[in-house]
Amino acid sequence: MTSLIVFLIIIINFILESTIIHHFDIFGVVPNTALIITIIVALLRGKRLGSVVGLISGLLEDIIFCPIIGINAFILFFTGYFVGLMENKLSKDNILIPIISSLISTISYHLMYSLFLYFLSYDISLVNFFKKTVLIEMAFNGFISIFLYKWFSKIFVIPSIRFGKR
Amino acid sequence: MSFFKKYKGRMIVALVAIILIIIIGFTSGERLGLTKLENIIGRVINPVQKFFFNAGNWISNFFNSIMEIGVLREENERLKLKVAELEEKNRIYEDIIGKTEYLKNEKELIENTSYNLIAAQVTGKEPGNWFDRFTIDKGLKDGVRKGDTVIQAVETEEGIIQEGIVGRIAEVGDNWAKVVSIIDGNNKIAFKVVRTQDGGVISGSEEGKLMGYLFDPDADVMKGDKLFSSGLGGIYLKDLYIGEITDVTIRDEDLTKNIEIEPAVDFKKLYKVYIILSGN
Repeated sequence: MTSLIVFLIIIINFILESTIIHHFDIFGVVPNTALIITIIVALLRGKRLGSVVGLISGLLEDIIFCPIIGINAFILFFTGYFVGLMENKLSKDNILIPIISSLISTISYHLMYSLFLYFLSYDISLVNFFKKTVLIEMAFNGFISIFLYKWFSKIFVIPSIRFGKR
Repeated sequence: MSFFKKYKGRMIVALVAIILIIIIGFTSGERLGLTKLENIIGRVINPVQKFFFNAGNWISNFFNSIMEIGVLREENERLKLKVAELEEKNRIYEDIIGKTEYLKNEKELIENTSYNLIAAQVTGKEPGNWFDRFTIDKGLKDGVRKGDTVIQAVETEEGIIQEGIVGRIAEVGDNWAKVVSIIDGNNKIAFKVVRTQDGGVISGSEEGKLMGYLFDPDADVMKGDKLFSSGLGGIYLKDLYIGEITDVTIRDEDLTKNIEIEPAVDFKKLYKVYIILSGN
């Protein structure tokens, strides 16, 4: 049941992200909702679901848009995994956690992306890009993660009591 | 045995990572066509994207037109003046062309080579801020091939008038295609300046303006010069309008003349494009 919801969320997010979201840009910068959703699912449900969500979202984006497949999938997969590793250790009610996670993940996403591009010998002017786009995107992502986190916490009901081995 | 079970989680992760890297390596070379999987997924998702993209555009246009009502009249007056100016210039040029034999021949040649154009609609823009890529709703079935040039044009009674170059087709599926635009940092176009016939290469973009450099550091180009694609390198067709120079700088370290160009096409408002079919 949950996997169906998750799957639907991934697809709806992708469709919206590629069609409507470019209307809501600030200074030309668009939030990376696939990244945010991966983080939130990982924070709420752990590394397995988080990494799977990251993998599928990334693959979808790569297949439809990029000539080179796998970059987004790789980065989102590992982001989901690592954020999910901390699922047990962080409080789920604190709203600061998703904000900080999105800030850190946005930076690491772009760092890893530029690393990949470097190895694939694309030449991009890095410094300019980082100064202008990444900072704004971090702020935008962090801001949106608040709303999405609140919304998703209601969908994925956080079990307050767990029986059995944790 | 217990080793396997103990590290099962991490082994799966490592396995997935390795598979992904292999896929990246595999797809980063020059591919001839899309794999079946990509094709199928694209075929399913593209129409849905198209619907939402249209909806989003419609709403956005609606709000925009409400906001623009105030300035419409002014803009109308301004445009009328500009049209009158351009018509006058056109008359003068036609006059000059008519007087010289070889110019007349060249004009006839240009008018007769009509490109084979088909219209396509943008169905989705790549999310994320790295590249400017988008997908369109025409594919192999409509004759689109990898490498075809994509331009922005308007259709009038006299035919299709091209406005400027948008990009080129990177991959084609059955009924959809991926387009890489000229704003994309990895897309290099060779251009020539109309006035002086100097050549150069566009090497990247910043904030929506294209950056490029000229081959000849002593070239005499200035703000306002118009650039056309020169067709060198065989990637883009020649004589397609790229944009206008907005800034010229000389960098001492590079010994090149750098220019900043404003593209003719407004990439934020891309909605309908034309593809020049190469027909092979």
